[in-house]
Amino acid sequence: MSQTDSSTEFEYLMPSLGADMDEGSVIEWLIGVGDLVERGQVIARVETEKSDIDIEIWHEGTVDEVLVEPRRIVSVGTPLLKLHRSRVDSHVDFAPPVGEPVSQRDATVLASPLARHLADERGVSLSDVVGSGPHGAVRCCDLDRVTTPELSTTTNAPDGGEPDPSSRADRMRATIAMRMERSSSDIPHYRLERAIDLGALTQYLAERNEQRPVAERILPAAAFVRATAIAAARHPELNGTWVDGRFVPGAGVNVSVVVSLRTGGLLTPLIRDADQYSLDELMHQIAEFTAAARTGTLRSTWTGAGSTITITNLGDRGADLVHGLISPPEVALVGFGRVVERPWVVDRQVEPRPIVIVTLGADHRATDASVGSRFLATLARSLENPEMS
Amino acid sequence: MNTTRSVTVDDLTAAIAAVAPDVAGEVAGLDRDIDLFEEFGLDSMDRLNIMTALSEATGREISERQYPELTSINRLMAYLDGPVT
Repeated sequence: MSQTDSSTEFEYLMPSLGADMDEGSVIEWLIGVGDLVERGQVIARVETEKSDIDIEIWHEGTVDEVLVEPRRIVSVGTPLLKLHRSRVDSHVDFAPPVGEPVSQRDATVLASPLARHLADERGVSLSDVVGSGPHGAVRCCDLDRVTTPELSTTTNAPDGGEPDPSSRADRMRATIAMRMERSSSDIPHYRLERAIDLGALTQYLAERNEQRPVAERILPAAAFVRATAIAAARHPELNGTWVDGRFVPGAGVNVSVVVSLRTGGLLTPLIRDADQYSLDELMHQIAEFTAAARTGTLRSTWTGAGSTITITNLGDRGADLVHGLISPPEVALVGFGRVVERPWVVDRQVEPRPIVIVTLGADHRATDASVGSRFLATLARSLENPEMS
Repeated sequence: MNTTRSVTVDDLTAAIAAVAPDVAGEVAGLDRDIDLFEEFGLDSMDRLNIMTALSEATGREISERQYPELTSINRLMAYLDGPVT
C-alpha cells in the first residue's frame, strides 16, 4: 500500500498519568517522523506536576507528524502525534475524542458486553485495546493486557537540561499533602494490627533462593503483595473505592505499592490483577518498578487509575509497624513493618521467630472491624503457609 | 558458556547507579571497609537489584546466605575473587 488510507490514520493523545494530572509537557521525543513504532514502545518522556514519566504507545504505526514541540505544556487529551498503521484493521477505533465519557466514544468499537463493562469500570478506553475476538472484537481477557496511562511519577535523575528538581520535589510534596489531607479529613479510619510468624515463609524462600540465580530470588515483599492480593480477592468489601456515598467493588484486584524515593516523596506503582500472578512474576515486577521509581524511569505500564487497594511496606530499614492513611478513594491500606526476630510461643515453648506486624487501615463507612479482622486472618494464613500460594 | 571475571569498582558504581543515582558518584571514593548498604541507606530491594547486576556483570553466582557478609566493597571484591582493577 503506497497510499495512506484515512481509516488507518490515528493520533496519539497526551495521556492522563494520574488522577490529579490535567496537563503535562513532553520533555523529549524518543521517536521522529517516519519512525515505525511498536506496541509498548516508550516514545517520549513527559513532565507532569509530580514528576517525569516515560510514556508508551499501545498501537503500532508509522509516525507522520509530531504535533507538539518539547516543553510546551498541553492539557490531557491533546493530540501529540499523527500516525498511520501499515496494516488495515478497521475494527479498532483510534484516538477517541477527548471530553466524552469512555463508554460513549467506545460505542463504535467491537467488544463483548463483559469487556465493555470491565473497561468502563476500570476507566480503560476500549479503543486502546487490541481485541483478540472475532473481527478484532475486544474480549474481557484482552483488558488484562492493557495498562491505562495514568497516575504516579518520579524525581528524575539529572541527565542534562532537566527541569529544576527542587520544584519537582515541592510539587510532589504538595500532591502528597493534598491527598493525605483529604484522606485524613474525609475518611473515618479504623485500624487493626496482627503479628504474623514468618518462620515458615523465611525458610521456604531461603531454600528456594539457594537453588536459584540472583535474578530469580524472591524477597518477602513479593509474598506480602501476593498474600494481600489473595486476601483482597477473598474479602471484596475491602477491595474497591468509596464514591458518592457508596462502596464500589473493584473490577479485579489492582494493588498499588508505595515506593519511597531516596530524595523524599513517594510513588505508587500499580500491579493490575495482582492476585493472578505467581510469586516469581510479582517479584520481578516489584524489583523492576522499585528501581525504576527510584531512578526516575517509571513507565506508564505501572501507572494509571483503577487501584483498588494499597500496600505500604517499610522494608528492612523501616520501623516495626506502620499505621498509614488510606489513599482516597480506596477503602483499605495494608501496612508491613520490618521483619524482626522476636520471642514467640510455638508448641508451648518460647522460640526466636521472624515476626512481621501487619496493619490494616480501613474506611469505617465501608466496613467494620470484623471484616478487617477476617481480612488479616486470611492474609496471615497465606504468609504462614507459603507452599499454599 | 559465559566467562567469569572479577568485579570492579566500576561494576559496583554502575550497579548502585541503577538503584540510587544520587550516591553513585561517591562509590569510588568510599572507604572500602565500611558497610555501603548502611552508608547509602539501601534496602533489601536495592540489594537484590545490585547483586543481580554484579552477578550479571561478572558471570558469577552470589549465594543469598552470604549477603550478611557482603556489605563492603572489599568484602564484595574478595567474594567475587577480584583484584582491584
